[in-house]
Amino acid sequence: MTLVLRLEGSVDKPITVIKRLAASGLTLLAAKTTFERLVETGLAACTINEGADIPALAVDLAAMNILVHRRRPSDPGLIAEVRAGHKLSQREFAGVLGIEIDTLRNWEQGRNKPDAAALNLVRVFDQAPALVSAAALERVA
Amino acid sequence: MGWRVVRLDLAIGDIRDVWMSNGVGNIEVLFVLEPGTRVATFRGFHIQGPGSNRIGRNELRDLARAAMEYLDADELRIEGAARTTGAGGPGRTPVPLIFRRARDAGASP
Repeated sequence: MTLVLRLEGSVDKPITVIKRLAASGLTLLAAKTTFERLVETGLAACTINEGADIPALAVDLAAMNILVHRRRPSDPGLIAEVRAGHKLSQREFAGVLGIEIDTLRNWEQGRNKPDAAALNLVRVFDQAPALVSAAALERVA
Repeated sequence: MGWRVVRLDLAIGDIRDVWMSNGVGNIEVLFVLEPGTRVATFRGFHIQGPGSNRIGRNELRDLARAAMEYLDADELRIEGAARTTGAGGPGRTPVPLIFRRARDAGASP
């Protein structure tokens, strides 16, 4: 299970953080490296044991100014839902996403499964449609 | 009361944590040990203990002395990991601390 950690403030007990990550399945060295990356960039990804108690880890790290994020579960029904919410036809939605209409149809009808990046694009569109359109399309003349 | 190393078990190339105590509180440090023929280095050094700005060169002197004895090194470099709090703010890498055994374990860099 891959988690993304985000630094929200200063950390008084760095060794406690490192050991907490190690208790979730990272080697002590990997936990140390992950923590140092987090301090350096504000963001770090790590892979923990499948059986690790993620909510408990999140609570422990949140108390030390580190927020834990994980990938959203796959939800193919989201695509039709977002399109309907914005009152777009399949052709219009495919157009503003910059993809083929057949691709969109296959996703909505379950013939193909959208990958995580495609679903995230739809989620971003739901919150900021103009941003996605501007990124996916170029103005002609 | 001075700080005394409670547990020192150094292994080359491995990550290590060491506890120190002054009888009232504890300091814990974590680092990767890099050996040299004369100069040993504690790389990516993290420290936590009784509170911010209460641990400095003096508190680490006993650790440095014990480590140099243990490793039979003439000099110990302590290279801190990027700061997670305190002076300079998170992300700043501190200047290395250098301790020498021959003259004074607290010699300046």
